[in-house]
Amino acid sequence: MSSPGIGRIRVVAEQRREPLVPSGVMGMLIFSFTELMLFAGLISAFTIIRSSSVVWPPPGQPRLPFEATAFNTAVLLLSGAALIWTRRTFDRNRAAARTPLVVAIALGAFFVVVQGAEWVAMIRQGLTLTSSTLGGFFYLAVGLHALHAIAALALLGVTLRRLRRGWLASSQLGTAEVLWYFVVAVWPFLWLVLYR
Amino acid sequence: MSARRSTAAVLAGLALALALLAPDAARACAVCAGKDSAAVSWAMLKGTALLSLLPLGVIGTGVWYLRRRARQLAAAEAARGATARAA
Repeated sequence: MSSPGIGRIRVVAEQRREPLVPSGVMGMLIFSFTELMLFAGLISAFTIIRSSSVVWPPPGQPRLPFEATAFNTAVLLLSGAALIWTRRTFDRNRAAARTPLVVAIALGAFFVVVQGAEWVAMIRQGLTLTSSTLGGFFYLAVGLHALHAIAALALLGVTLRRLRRGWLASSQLGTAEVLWYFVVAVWPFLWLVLYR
Repeated sequence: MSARRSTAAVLAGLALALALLAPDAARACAVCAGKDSAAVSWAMLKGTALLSLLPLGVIGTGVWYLRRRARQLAAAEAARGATARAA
């Protein structure tokens, strides 16, 4: 029988609630939103400048390779699909998610390399940052996108390393996913507006 | 206080009416001086619509997703509670 002074101690552990959205994912969503507005501003300004020009592309400037870039756009979209495949696999079997993640990174890297090769070809044809408004917008918008793609690929690389070592959290994958989906989703609009 | 508010509302209404009645006066964009045509006006309209509606769409989608996720979590928590009580 317990003494009246010392009763039973009841330990109540409050269960920690699952957050609506993990902090990393929320931070990346807010960042992506601000970047989305930056790209929207660029697209809007480009549309106005293009419509105010009598001749397009400007005299002496090459036409952007719309058809050739279509293939590269498809590669980038495939990379996004591979990341969706990564998430689905990760939720079922973490170790098996390595293959689709490597595929997503490889396709993304291919896109960046081909874009770089395209830049070199455009510079050789006389399209530079200061040669015309087309050149200025092309290198600013596509360059910014390439910068985001490289940063997102680096993040996916870190994600792959964590996955290989066995300490990748679901929210960490989610954070990298948001940035890559942003890169994938913005590109078709840039391609359709700038290259046409 | 309310008089100030009503004055501000009248002034805001006047500004809006002026902007709607005299849109040509708003063409002060330094890069749009080259050609005054329907194509430029249409491009400006498209740009304005994009920059106005995009943030609203994104914020709306975010709120919709958060509400849906909150409902899912609440349902899961209720199911867990029911299981614990039954045990």
